[in-house]
Amino acid sequence: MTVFATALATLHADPNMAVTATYRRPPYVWATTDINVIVSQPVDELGRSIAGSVEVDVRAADLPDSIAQRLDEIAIAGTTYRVESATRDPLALSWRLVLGKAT
Amino acid sequence: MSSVREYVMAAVAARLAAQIPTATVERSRRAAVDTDRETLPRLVVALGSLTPDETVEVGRVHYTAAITITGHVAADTDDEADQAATDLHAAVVAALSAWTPSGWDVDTPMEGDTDFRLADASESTEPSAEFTSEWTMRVVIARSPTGALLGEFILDVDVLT
Repeated sequence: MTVFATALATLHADPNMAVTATYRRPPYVWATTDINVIVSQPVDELGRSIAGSVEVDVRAADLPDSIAQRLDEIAIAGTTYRVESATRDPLALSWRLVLGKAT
Repeated sequence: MSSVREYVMAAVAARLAAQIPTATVERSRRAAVDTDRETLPRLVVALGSLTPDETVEVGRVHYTAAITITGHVAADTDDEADQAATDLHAAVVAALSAWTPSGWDVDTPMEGDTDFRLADASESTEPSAEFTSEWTMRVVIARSPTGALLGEFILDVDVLT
């Protein structure tokens, strides 16, 4: 592993930084192994309203085929979210996922 | 009635509250609406400008009030949130376009531009949407020969042509 991959693994293993989650992809079979994700919940202004959003950083190694894609689902603390957009970092070590409410 | 502005704001807010009972109607709100925690749908009425014109009619001042009505909705799915914004705006149009305030010689308020926006996923995890609808109303009051405004409005709301 590169030093960056090692640093990323260390951050995701830190219980003060990451939380456990479960990931799945159509046909929506939950993975049997939990993964660690780093959650951020920014609150942004939208016109004349404000709302909270949920974004997570996931290690590519923890994902099916090391890829995150729209319509995947992730369960965090009993709540299931749908992946609305996924952006990979330049080193292809992690993905930044923007989550929406799953129906 | 203390002023034209107060009269218009109160009348519009009361009309919306009566005609759209499913929505919470507010006025004079300074803080942004928290779509995650506040009761929705919600309408916020604001009066942005009041433009007088004394050249239209001798002895009377024609005020043009520019009103902004902002609607906020949330739903379980993206499609439902989008549709909810459409439905709420339609209810606002129905409430104001078919309005004849009692005691007034009125033409209906004039509808202006409306902007709709569905919250981006990066802005809101919960599907939510808002619209901003612009309206104008004209209120006519009498001015005495000494220049003082008469204590009682002569309410004569016209549609802008």
